[in-house]
Amino acid sequence: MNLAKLTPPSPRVPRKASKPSARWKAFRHHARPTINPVALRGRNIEERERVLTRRDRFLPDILLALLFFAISLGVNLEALPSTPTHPDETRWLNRSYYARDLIDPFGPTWQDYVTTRGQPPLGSIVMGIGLAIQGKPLDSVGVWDFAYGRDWNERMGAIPTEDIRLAGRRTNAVIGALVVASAFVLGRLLTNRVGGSLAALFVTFHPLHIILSTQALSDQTLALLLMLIFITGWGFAKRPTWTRAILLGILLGLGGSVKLTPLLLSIPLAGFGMLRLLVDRDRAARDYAFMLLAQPAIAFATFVASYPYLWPSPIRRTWDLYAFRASEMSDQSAAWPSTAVTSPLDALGRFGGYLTHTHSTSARFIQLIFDRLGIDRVASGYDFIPAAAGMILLLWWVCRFGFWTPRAMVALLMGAEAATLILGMKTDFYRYHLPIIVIMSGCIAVSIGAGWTALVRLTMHRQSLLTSLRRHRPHPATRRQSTSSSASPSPDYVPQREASQ
Amino acid sequence: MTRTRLFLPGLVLLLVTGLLLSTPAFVNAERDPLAPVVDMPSPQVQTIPDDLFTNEQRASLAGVVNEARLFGVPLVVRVITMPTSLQTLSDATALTGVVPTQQEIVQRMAETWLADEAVETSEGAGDGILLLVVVPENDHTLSTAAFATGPNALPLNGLTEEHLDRVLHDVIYPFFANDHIATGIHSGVAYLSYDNLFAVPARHQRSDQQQTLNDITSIAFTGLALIGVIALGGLVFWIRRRDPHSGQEADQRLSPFEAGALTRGRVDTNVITAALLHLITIGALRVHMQKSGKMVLAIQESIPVADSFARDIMQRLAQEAGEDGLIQGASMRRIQDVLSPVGDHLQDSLATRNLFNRDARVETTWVVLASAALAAFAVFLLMPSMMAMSRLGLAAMLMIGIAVVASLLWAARRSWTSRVGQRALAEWQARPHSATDLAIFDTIIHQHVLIDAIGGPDVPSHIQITRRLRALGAG
Repeated sequence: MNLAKLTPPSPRVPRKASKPSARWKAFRHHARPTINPVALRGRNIEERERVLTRRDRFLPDILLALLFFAISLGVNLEALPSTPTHPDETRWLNRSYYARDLIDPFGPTWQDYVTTRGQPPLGSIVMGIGLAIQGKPLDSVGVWDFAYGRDWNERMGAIPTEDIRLAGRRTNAVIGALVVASAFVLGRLLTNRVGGSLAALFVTFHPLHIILSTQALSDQTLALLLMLIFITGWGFAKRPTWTRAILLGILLGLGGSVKLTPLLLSIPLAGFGMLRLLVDRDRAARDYAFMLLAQPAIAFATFVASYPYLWPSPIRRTWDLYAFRASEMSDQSAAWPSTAVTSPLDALGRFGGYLTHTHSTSARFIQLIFDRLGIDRVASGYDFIPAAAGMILLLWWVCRFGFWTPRAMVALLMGAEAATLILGMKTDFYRYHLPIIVIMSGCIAVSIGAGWTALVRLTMHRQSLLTSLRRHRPHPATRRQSTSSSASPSPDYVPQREASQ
Repeated sequence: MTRTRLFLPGLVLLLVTGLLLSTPAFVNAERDPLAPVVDMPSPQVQTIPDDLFTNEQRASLAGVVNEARLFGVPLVVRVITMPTSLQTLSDATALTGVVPTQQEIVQRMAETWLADEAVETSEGAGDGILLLVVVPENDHTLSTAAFATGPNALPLNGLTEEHLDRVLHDVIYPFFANDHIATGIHSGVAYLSYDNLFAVPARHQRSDQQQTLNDITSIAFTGLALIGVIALGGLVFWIRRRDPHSGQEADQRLSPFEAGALTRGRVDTNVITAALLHLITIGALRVHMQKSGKMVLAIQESIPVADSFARDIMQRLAQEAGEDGLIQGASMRRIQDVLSPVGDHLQDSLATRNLFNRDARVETTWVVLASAALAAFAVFLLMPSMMAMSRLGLAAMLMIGIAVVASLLWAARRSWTSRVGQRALAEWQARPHSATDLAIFDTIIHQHVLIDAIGGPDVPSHIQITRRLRALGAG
C-alpha cells in the first residue's frame, strides 16, 4: 500500500501546483511524512519485522538521552561539593531508614506522629535506596528541629557527617541527570530531536536544577516523576490501553507519595474523561473516558499502598497530611514574612521574578558573556520568552488537532500542575520552583522544535525553488544549444535524481 | 441515551462515595495526638513558694511547656520546696522496716498530686502529664523529680515511659546536681518535646484477639491464597496447552486480512482500520476534510472491491451513508463501533474454519471469573490482615495481586489463533503474494507506525487519517 496515496485532498491545497509559488503554498500546507512508510522487503515476515524494530527507530534517541544524562551527571557531580548546606537536607537523610522499614509495615516507623505526618515517604525511600547502594548506614542522622539553633541540633545528632551528606547528594545528582534525560524524551515526543536537545540543555545548565541536584532533598524525585507522568500521559493518549492507564495512575500516586501535589492531577484527568464521556459516543471514546475516570482511584490506591502510615485510616490520615502541610506553610509564612505568598497572582509574579532574575539558564550564559567581555553588568534571564511562545504554540496545536491527542494530554497535565502550584503555594521557597522549570522545558522544546522545523522547511524549499528556477531559466549559452531539442521539459517535471531534495 | 450515559458515571460516583463513607475516617473520633492543647485550664508552671524562680526563669519555663502543649502534650510543671532532704526522710522511714527511695517518694507525691489536680485535655480524659520537682531547702543539689501520667497519657506520639525516664536521668538530674534547677527543668521539657515530635513511637502490641486473628490469617487464609494462586496458574496452564482442533487440516485459502488477523490473534481495530485504509487507497472510499477540521468518508460505489471482508465493510458503511454517499457525524465518530459486526463476522468465520480457537471466549471468561474470585478473596483478606497486623496476610494479598494481574494480562493479550491457524498462516507466508496483499498485511501488523505522531509540529496526513479511523484523535 502506497501510503502517500492516503494524503487527503485538502481544500486549502491547490491540486495542480504547476507554478513555483503554487508549489510553495502546497508545500507549506502539506505536512511532510516524518516517518518512512511501511517497507516491503521480501515475503518473510521476520525480515519485515526487522525493518521496523523499535531499536532501529529509537536508537538515536536513546543514545542522545544517555548523552544528556552523562552531561548532566558530570555537571552535577562537579558542583556537588561546593553547593551550600541546607538544614532541610537532614530531614531526608534522617528518614532514609524508611527504605529498610518498608518490610515491617506494621512497625513503629509507620505510626501516627509528626515525622510520618510531616511528609509523604517516597523521597526518603529513594534517599535510603541511594545511601544503601553506596553502603552507608540508614539511621545515622537525627531530625533537625527548626525551632532550635545549630548547637541544639548538633547535640541531638541532627547534623550529618560529610560522608553521609555527600552520599545523599550523589543520589540526587543521579536523579537530576535522569530528569534531564526525561526532558529530552518529552521534548522529542512533543517536537523533534532539536527541541528535545534544547530542553535537555536548558534543564542541565539551569542553576536551580544544579543546586537541587546537589543537595540531599526530594525535589528532584518529584521532578523526575512529573516528567514520567507527562511522558506516560503522552503514551496513554497516543494509544489508550488499560495497561498505560494503570501506569499513569501509579505514577500519579507515586508522585503524590513524594510531594502530594501530583496526586491532585488525577482530578482534572477524571474531569477530562467525564467530558469525553459526555461528548463522544464511540466505544474507543468510552474506554478512554473510563480509563481517565479511574485515575483518582488508581492514584489514591497507589499512594496509600506506598505509605503504610495511611493504612489504618486512608482518608483521614491523607487529610491529616494535607492539613499538616497547609499549617506548616502558614507557620513558615509567619516565621519568614518575606516568603509569604498572598495570592495566586503573587505566586505567579514570584515564579516570574525568581526564574528571570535569580535563577535562569539564559541569564547564566549572558552573564558568562558579560564577564568574558568585561562588561560590569548583572544579566537578566529570558527563559520565559521561548517558554511562553511554546505554551501558546502548544495551545494552538491543541485547538488545531483536538482535545484527545497526546499533545492535549501533555498540555492538560502541565497546566494542571502549574495551576496546582500557583493556587496552592503559600510560602515561597526556592525549591518550590523546580516543577515550573520542568514545565518550562517542555514549552521551550515546543517553540524551539517547531522553529527548527520551520527553518528547515524554509531552507529546503528555497533550495528547491532555486533549483527549479535555474532549470527553467538556463544559461543563454545552454539555451542556444538546446534550441534544437524537441521540447522544453514540463514545469512539473522533476528528474528522479533531484527528487530527494 | 443521555440517561444511559449518565448512569455509569453516576454509579462510579456512588461507589466512590460509598467507599469514602465506609472507611474508618468518619468513625475514628479520638483526640488528634498532635493537636495543640494550649487552652488547658491548668497553669503551665507553679512553684511553692512563688518566688522560687526569677520572673525570667518562670517565663522561660512557661514558654517551653507551652511549646510541648502546642504539639499535643498536656504537660504541667510543679515545683515545691521542702525544709529537709527527702533522703533524710527516706532514711527515717527505713527505721520502720519499709525502704522507699527518694525517687519512689517523689513519684508517689507526683501521682497523688495528679489525682488531686485535674491535669487533662478534657474532663475525664485522663491524659495529663505532670512533672513534679521537689527541692530541699537545705541542699538544692539533692532535688528530685518525677513524671506522673494519667491512665490514657502514654504512649503519645514518640513519648513512652522509657523516654520520660531517660529525660529524667540523662537530662534533668545532671543539671540538678550542679544546682541548676530551672535550667534542668527547661532542658528536660525541651527534650520531652523533641522526643514527642521526632522519637520513633513504641511498637503496637497485638491483643489476644489480634493474636488469634493473626494466627488464622497467617496459616489458614494465607494457605487458601496459595491454593487459589496455584489453581489459577493451573487453569491458565491447562488452557495454554489445550487445542481441541490441532489434528485437523489447515484451510489454505487465506485473504491478507485473514492472515493479518491470524498474526494478531484477533480481529481487532488494526484489521478493521487496515480494511478502511485499503478502501481509501483503491479509491472505494474518499476522504474529505471539512473546514471545521472534521474528516468525512465518501463511498465510491463504482470502484470494484475484490476482497470479501473489505466488501462487507463497504456494505456496512453504505448502510450508514446518507443519500449523497457521505459518512459523517455520529457514524464517523463511531466508525469502529459501526464496523464491529463485520469484524465479529470475520472472527466467527475463522473460528468456524478452526483457524481461531472456538472456545477462546469461554476460556477467557473462565480465567476472568477465576481471577475475579481470587481478587475478591484478596479484598476479603485485607481486613483481617490489617486488624491483626499480619505481614503474611499482606504477602498473600500481594501474591494474589501479582497472579491476578498476570493472568488477566495473559487473557487480554493471548492469541486466539489455533495450531491449525498457525499452520495456515505459515503456509500463506511461504507463498508469493501481490504487493497489495503484502501491503494490507503489513498495515495490519505494523499499524503502530501509522499512529505514532512523533517528530515535528505537524501531524502527517496519513497519521491523522489512521488515528481518526481508530478514534484516537488527530495526532
